[in-house]
Amino acid sequence: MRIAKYLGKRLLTFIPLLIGVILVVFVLVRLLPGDPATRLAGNFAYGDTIAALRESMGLDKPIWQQFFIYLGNVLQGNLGESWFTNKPILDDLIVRFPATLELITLSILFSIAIGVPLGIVAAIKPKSIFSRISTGYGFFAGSIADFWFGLMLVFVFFTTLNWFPAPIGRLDLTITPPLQITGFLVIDSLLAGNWNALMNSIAHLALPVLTLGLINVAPIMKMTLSSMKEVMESDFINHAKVLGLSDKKVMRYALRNSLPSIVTILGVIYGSLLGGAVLVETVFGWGGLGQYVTQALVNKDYSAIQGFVLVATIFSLFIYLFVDLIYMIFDPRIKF
Amino acid sequence: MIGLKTLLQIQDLHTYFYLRKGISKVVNGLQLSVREGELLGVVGESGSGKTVTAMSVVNRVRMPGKVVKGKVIYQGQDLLKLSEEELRKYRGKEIGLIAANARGNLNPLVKVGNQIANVYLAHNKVNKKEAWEKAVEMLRMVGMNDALRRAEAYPHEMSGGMAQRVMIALALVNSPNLLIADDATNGLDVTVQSQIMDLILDIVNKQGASGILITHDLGVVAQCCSEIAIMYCGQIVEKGPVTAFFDEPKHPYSRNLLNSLPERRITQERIELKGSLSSPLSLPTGCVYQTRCPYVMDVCRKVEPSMLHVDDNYNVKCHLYQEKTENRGSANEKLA
Amino acid sequence: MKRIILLISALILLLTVIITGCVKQSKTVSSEDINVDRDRTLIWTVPATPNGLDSEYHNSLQALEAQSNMYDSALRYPFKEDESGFLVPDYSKVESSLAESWELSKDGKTLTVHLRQGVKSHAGNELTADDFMYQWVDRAWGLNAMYKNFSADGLKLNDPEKQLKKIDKYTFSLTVDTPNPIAEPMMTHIFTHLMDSVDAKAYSTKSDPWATKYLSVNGSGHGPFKVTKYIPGQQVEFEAFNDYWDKKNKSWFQKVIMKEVPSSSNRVALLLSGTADAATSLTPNELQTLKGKPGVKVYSWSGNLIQRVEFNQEKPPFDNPKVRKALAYATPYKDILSSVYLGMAKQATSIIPSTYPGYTGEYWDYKTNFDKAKKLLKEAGYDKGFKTTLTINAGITQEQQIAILLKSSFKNIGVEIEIQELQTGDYYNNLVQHNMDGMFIFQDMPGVADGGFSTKLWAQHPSNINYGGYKNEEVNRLYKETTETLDVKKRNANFKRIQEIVVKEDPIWIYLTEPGYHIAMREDIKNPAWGTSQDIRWNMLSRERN
Ligand SMILES: Nc1ncnc2c1ncn2[C@@H]1O[C@H](COP(=O)(O)OP(=O)(O)O)[C@@H](O)[C@H]1O
Ligand SMILES: [Mg+2]
Repeated sequence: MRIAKYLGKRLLTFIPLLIGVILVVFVLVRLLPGDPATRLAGNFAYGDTIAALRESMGLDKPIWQQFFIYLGNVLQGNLGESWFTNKPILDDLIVRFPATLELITLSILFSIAIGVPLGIVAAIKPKSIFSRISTGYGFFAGSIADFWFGLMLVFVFFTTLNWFPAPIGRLDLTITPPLQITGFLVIDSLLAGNWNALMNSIAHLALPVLTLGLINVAPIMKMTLSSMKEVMESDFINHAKVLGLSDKKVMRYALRNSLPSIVTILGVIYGSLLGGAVLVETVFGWGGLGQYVTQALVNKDYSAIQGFVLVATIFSLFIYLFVDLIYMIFDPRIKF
Repeated sequence: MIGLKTLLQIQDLHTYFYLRKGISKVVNGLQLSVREGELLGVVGESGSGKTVTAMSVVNRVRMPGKVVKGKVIYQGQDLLKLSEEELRKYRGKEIGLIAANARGNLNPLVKVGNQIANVYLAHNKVNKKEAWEKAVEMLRMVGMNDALRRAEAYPHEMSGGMAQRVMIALALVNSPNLLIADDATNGLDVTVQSQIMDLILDIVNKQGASGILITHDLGVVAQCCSEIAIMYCGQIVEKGPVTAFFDEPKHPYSRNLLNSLPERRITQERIELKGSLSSPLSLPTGCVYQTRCPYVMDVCRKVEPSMLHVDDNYNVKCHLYQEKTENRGSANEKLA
Repeated sequence: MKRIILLISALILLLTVIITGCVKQSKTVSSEDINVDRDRTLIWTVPATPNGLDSEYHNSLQALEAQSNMYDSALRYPFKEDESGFLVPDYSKVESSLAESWELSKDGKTLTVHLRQGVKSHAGNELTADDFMYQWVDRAWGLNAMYKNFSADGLKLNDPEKQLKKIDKYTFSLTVDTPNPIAEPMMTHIFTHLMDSVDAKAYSTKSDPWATKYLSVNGSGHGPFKVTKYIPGQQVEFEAFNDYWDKKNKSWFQKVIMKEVPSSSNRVALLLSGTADAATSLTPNELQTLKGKPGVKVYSWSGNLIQRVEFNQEKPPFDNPKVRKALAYATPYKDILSSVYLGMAKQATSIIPSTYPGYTGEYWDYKTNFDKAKKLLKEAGYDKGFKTTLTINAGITQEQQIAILLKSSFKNIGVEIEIQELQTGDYYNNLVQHNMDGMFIFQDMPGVADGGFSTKLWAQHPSNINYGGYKNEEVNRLYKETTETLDVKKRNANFKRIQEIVVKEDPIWIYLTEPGYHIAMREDIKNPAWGTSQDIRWNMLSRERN
């Protein structure tokens, strides 16, 4: 019951936060250089036409008035329409959000599976060859551009070896996607019993997941390493050694005590990937949120940008909530 | 009760900290021995190197510190020559260490019962359940009423005194032959202090172990210990039976210590004397006490005094007694 | 342990509620089961999906290509085959398309067009003169965008109610004050295409009277393809139109997927693997590499793009023709052609594309010559050189390389340039608002294959597309004359003189290159046909497997 009350309280704090974010983004997008009406009008429309367009887009009204109209719509679940695709923003987001979520979730799981153990080894045996290699890798992966890495993987595993399908999105063009239920192709094709689509979607996921996954191994490894190191230097670890606990036990203590900060950094990375996977999405033609918002930024498609930020904020808030809950599980000192 | 066999012998111990500012010679040339069944009180100002010495005994001086020279012979075995794995057999098993600051030295995320059980498991071939039962038994032994419930608690759920009792349980769970209590009552209020002290003494007496009691409380030493050692700047400057010491302290520093407290009791956290310790970063050549000694002579500034045998089991490290050993009587006149 | 289980189940419950909430909101996207035959599907990779499908507003290269395949105009140019098997327009004659016949009155002022009867639109409505009137009179003047400012302006229309007439169900006419030599070529342009007005009207609403929302993502034309799916940023799908009026040119391919693949190296990879049938907008380097690869073929055509350095001529120092000339002499033409384009481009030598009627290259005589350049600068009063900026479009990679070559070359005559790279959107914003300062690299095509069209767009004053503000009274007069006479000799003489002025006497730009049109396709794709707005006509293509 305490948990339910806590969750309720936390969810209530989301509301003012979201309204604040909506307001800030609303103002910020309007400060972006460039005018959406001019973009929308194309190369052959001049003064009057653009003014008329501005009017029909509602951009001639004072900004506070525009804001309240928008806020009213959002509260009714209407995120507006894209000026450029004329589609409801919500419809676009519902298709694209699961695409990105599927990609980044698998990627972060991959990164965790590799980065956390590497970080632990590097922290425990800082002088072993293995940990030197992994530290070197962490440095290397942290400094390469994800899109470049993606292109390299495409070149090796698609162009040269042809082990993986072409980087043209989530499925081959000739494969009919399963009925959208969750939006996660892997799950939807399982639900539909469509093995073809399942195998194909997994094959398409492989390289982008590898790209994002390997890139994010670096920060995860470094964070694991540094929080492990910090814990290893703490008094209670020293005392555990003074009491003759085995290396294994000491490592278990260290890991146990670093977990909260590792989980936090995982949450931060995961949250930032929603929009931060854009270059990888571009390389693999993923059609996810990152690409969507890039397009929206280029076009100054205000509602689309605002819609994206809203989704991203909600997503991050939930991640942070989740992280906090996990924190509570791991750390008995924190109370609801 | 006191056997003749030496249990622990520290010879010419040097422990340095390699700092950016220079080499900090925290322990330099320390000589000390503890016989079987003996309870030795070690007294010194804060910063004189007591804790570092205790850590050097179990060979767990932390970076950037390092034992650079000397021997720590425990039952004929030089502990400084052992590997970590071999040392583990001594730590927590042969030598139990109670540290001050229980809060920092207990793992905040593990139940205290488990922490004790882990130390027991590390040195005994028992299963988890047996270890847990042992832990509960230890908690009972250190005077906890509802030990079963306490075992389930986390350190932050306990008072300082309770946590300190857990520290004692941790040190004693494997019935060590040598117990080192380093400022074990530091930071606790007076009644709790004496309870804890009584507890330690009680257990040591029952188990027939030897003990090193590092403390500020000369009264405790007078009451409980058979031997006393006075520490100054990483050296033992005077050592002898308690009765002889309190009858007539020999070293000018010891006299200063006793004189500064009319009731011959030091209950504060720190012993406050006029002047200050020489910085271990720049120790003077000759006697380390020369900067504060009212009887300083030319020779004190040039030659380091050696540990002089002035009586049965009584040693002083002071040039004044150089003469005395050669020409008894004159020194006492001077000191009077 | 209990609290862990409790927490996790609480959270899962929460997420489930949210997700089901979202799913209920979305119209569950049903999976249409189109049985796609890969053989009859053309997979066309592009750097970006069209910015929209309504030609009033959307004129990106991909938008033009989509529109060219969805819509037909009244007239068209026949194709001729070049040496490499590439079909390119034969600008020497105009032929009928949606118009069955047409005639220009003796005085050259009235063009009468007789539409074909029984031509069906994608939506199934018959093509009539009403479609023409809707698009040219109502919608064009209602929106005041491309049709009014480009197409109608090109045809010299200013009072449509008077000048345009519906004569009968299938006939309309267009009358202007002076002889109209440009009427025929203009009516071949994609920007004069016709569309199904009945269908468009069905989608007009009070707030959107011209159905721009519908036409931006859909639309009903009379061309060989209809659009079936438009997912911006991902792909646009087309289906061959079964009732296409031009039976001879009905598409062999049943389906075309215009697939966005932003990275050009990925387009190459997809083409090489056979996943894609064509890769557009490749770099010279990639094209050169592909030339030797089995299974693919590269087609090249000089096309009609002209790349140049433009000047803001309204301010010093570029108001002085000697300065412009001096920089033209300080330009490393050979390096640009060889190291930037690897021989895949041609030297630009005129304001008129070399493939267009009326072109002459004889006045371009700018071999790189620093002495001459310095002398000209001195005469102009800039013997110490000057500092200026060079703005480039980040969307065109070659511009950066060219800018660097120019920067080091101009140093030789004391001209310091600062390179300013703008994102494509911002670049065009500055351009359209005539906000460019100093110099800027620009490439564009005159969409109508008439010798005067380049001048109309870029050199006469005022013109919305004369971004640098070039002003030469003689050019203005010569150009005006060519728009008011049908006398071919007279017109050609004027074109020649105009080229002499804008190339040699009072140069408007530094003429850089004709980058040309290049496309790489699978070898089994035959019969590529290039349209004047940089598009390939998919209906002409077929796959021939041995
Ligand atoms: N980790 C360390 N780094 C640097 N100096 C240290 C470190 N630990 C202890 N010292 C120095 O060693 C000296 C003695 O410390 P300590 O043994 O804790 O004193 P005591 O226990 O007698 O109060 C102090 O001067 C302290 O500054
Ligand atoms: Mg201490």
